[in-house]
Amino acid sequence: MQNRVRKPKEKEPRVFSLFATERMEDYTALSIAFLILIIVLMMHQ
Amino acid sequence: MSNKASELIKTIPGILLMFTIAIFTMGGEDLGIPWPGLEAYIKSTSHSNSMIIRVLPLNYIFLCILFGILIANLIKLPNWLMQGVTTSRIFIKVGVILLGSLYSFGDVVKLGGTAIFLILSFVVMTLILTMWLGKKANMDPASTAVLAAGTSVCGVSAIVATAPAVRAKTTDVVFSIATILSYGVVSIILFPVIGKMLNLSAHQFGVWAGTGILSSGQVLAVCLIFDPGTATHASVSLKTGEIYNLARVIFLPFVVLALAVLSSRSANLLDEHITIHTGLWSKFPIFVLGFLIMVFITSVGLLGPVSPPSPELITIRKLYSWFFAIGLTGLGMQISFSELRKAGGKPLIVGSVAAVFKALLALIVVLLLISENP
Repeated sequence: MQNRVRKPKEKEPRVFSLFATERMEDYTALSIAFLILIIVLMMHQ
Repeated sequence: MSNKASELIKTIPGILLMFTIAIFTMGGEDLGIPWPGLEAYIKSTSHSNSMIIRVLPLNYIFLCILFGILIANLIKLPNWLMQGVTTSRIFIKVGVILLGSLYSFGDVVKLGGTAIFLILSFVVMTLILTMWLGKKANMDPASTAVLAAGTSVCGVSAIVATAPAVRAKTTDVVFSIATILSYGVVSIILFPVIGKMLNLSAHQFGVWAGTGILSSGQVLAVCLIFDPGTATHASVSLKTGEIYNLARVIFLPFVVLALAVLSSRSANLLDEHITIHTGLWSKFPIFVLGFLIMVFITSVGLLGPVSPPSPELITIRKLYSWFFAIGLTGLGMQISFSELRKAGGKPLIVGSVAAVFKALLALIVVLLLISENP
């Protein structure tokens, strides 16, 4: 069977990003910032 | 899971490239590297007191963006580098969350009150102006709607968020993004130069940039170019500008909803079609909550005294400077002149007229109504 490549729909905006959604990017940023905060607080104890 | 891990590993070369450029321009003393940075090097040479330095604020943020743009446009960066470069928004968002450590709740209330009023007025005005100009220029309603989102709220993010809600075509999105980014490149150079020429104070410049510039990353960039600040004396223009910027960003879900309703009316769609992509909460930029949590943590004194800043706060300020330098280098690397050439025709004219009008009006408001200090 021949593989068919999906043609992007015309109405679908495509922006290259590591994250599927902007919300996932926000959660990642929040997690990294939280981790940094904990490390800074531990460093200065 | 292994797929995710391999995708993450693939970002490392690009991140290392951005980091290297940041060290080159900013200096490596924080990391124990004996290099003062290109900014310090240029300023220390006798030749540097020339016109170029006086006219162009050649500090590390400007140099990061400049090197980013030059590298990306002179050398065609391979995909294995670009994957890391596209993580630059994460660095900027983490930097913005950490930036919350600059404020107390009192600061947010004091700056935020004026910011919400001014930003709301400008968002509504720019939205109406762009929609009106688009109609006059006979632009497609969906194309006008994405452009209006870009000029009134927060640039590229607003365009991407609005596109599915108004059923915009990919070409509309590309044209609008190219228009906003072209304007942004000009803003990064012109805003600090005009600010210096008019002798704006750092606070006034922050208000102007936060109100008059279209994209969040560019607000951050021009504020840091105008007044880079240090770990002990944080940038005043950044402190003011970012509050205005975040006030604008939180209007995004409401603007998307308004544009979806407007464009569905013009396309005669049923009401039930509007709600599919336009949930307010789903469009809310939740990294702003991280910023507010950081303000709370600083206000209750968990990070020690604010003035003079505690060692914890100094470390966080150094960290967000690095995050901004890396993120803005990546922002520069994603500005491709061949992509910008896609901007043209009606979107470029309508977007530019709306953006220039917004920037000029914001400047007049700042000169007439905003005091030199907060």
